[in-house]
Amino acid sequence: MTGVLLFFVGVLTLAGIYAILAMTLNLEAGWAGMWDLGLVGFVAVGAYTYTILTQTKFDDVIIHPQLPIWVGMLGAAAAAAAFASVIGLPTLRVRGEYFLITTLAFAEVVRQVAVNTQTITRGTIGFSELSRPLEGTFPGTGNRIVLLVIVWIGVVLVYLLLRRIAHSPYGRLLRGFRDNDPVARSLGKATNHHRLRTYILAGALYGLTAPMYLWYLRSVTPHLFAPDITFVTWTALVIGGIASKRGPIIGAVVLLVLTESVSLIQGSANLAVILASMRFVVLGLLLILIMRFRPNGLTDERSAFATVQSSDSL
Amino acid sequence: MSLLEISGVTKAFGGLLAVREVSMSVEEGSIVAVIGPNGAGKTSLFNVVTGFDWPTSGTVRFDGEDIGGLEPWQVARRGMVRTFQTPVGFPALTVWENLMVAGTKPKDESLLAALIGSWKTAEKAVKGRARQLLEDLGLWDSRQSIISDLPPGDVKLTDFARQLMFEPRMLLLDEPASGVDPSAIGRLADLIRRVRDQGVTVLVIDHNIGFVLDIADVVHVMALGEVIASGPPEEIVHNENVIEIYLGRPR
Repeated sequence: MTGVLLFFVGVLTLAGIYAILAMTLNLEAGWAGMWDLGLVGFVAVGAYTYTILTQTKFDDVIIHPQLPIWVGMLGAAAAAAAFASVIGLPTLRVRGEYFLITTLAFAEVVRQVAVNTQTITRGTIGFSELSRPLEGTFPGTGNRIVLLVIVWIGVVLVYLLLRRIAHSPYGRLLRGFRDNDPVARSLGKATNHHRLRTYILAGALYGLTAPMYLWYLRSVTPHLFAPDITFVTWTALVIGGIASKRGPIIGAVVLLVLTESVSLIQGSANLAVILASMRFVVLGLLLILIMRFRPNGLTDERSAFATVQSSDSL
Repeated sequence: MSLLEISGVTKAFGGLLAVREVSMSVEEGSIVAVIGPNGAGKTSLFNVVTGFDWPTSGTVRFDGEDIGGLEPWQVARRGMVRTFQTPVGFPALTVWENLMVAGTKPKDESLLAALIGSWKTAEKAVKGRARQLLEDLGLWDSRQSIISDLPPGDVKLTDFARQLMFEPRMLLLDEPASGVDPSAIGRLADLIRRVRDQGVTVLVIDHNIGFVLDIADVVHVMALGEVIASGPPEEIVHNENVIEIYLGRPR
């Protein structure tokens, strides 16, 4: 019984991490209209920055300052934001499908750089046995619950931050020019500046999420940052409802609980292999059902903003 | 002094000259119209004037300043605002939000303002103006409708209201009468006159000659990229070149 309980502690931790990623993607794609297929690149930059700054176990890399965890987290956010500002300048010059391809390509570049800079990232071997926050105070099982709590505090904080943005003139402007850039520009709005700022903020949030993911996994290797994270995040957002407010959280929890629960089925090693690939079958099935019966997702933009809209104009 | 001064503007798309050596000036406080058949270069001229396109040659001056090469948002911030032929605006937002976006000043709609909440003080005044404008245009009851749910006539009116919320010095209207119910055209003309009376200079493109002759102080007629006639409406209707273009040469 405690095994099952602990299993769900893990699943909900992962769901919380994806909820933050999906909320950030919602800001970027749902509200600001930038369909980013390279968000895993920011997670990777954050993850490596955090690990390099804080890890204490490996000294075969040229940079190992062994800084405190909170410095590593700030570093992760700052590095991912800086990366966003650098690649934002060229990628934001293009729209639509060109933006998709460019962001996808940049994420892949990050992964290849991680593979090939062994003296900094330890290449394909990566880092393992990473320490978790409060490990000394709450050892063993307790620490998994601590991690769950930390992640969900993060979910709440990011939700509050994004709600503040959604209800501000800035959020209103993003949802406006998302659908009609020329009209916004004809009204004196420097839409590309706003896009770049949003992209940088999203980069910082992705970067900040990376350390939580590492605490969960306890290791980092380049193959973690294959496009899977991007696609799972997108699926969570689409299921929950793109451009809504709570949708990304709902979508992440529904998606992760359903796909991860496949692992609860006990059986032989062969069955385990089949079950592992079943996750993507479940994901696909869920996506098809949503597209068929709730094409706007479990919640949608209209209902998410209806209360703001009616109270605002009175 | 004229508010808008277009001199010798040419716009070429490859070998096609959409606008050829066009010059015209718009006096502050007047309503000036540009008419002409499809493909005459009217919208190309609008695009060049408002920064959505760059002139191949020639200069555009607004309030004495050369605005050639400025971005559309920079042109708008100098006080010149245009509309588009398809008046969809911000389709996911309500009528109310459409006006609020237009009325909000840059410092209140930044990411920083959103985070520290500094936008709230200015918002009140913008709300007051939005309310006034919606009541004036009879859109108050539709304020909570999302644009994509509105009937076409109201979309057009909202388009007008939104661009006015910006408080432009000059308004460029791209075919405001197209798609408007003939019975409502008179109201649209009154509206444009009222806007002018409040001090906004208006440059309007349209196909509807009756509508244009009704409101304009000066009319420029374009054909194949060139201005072929200019003058007050009563002169234009008797101009031979214009009659030829619109009615065909009498044999």
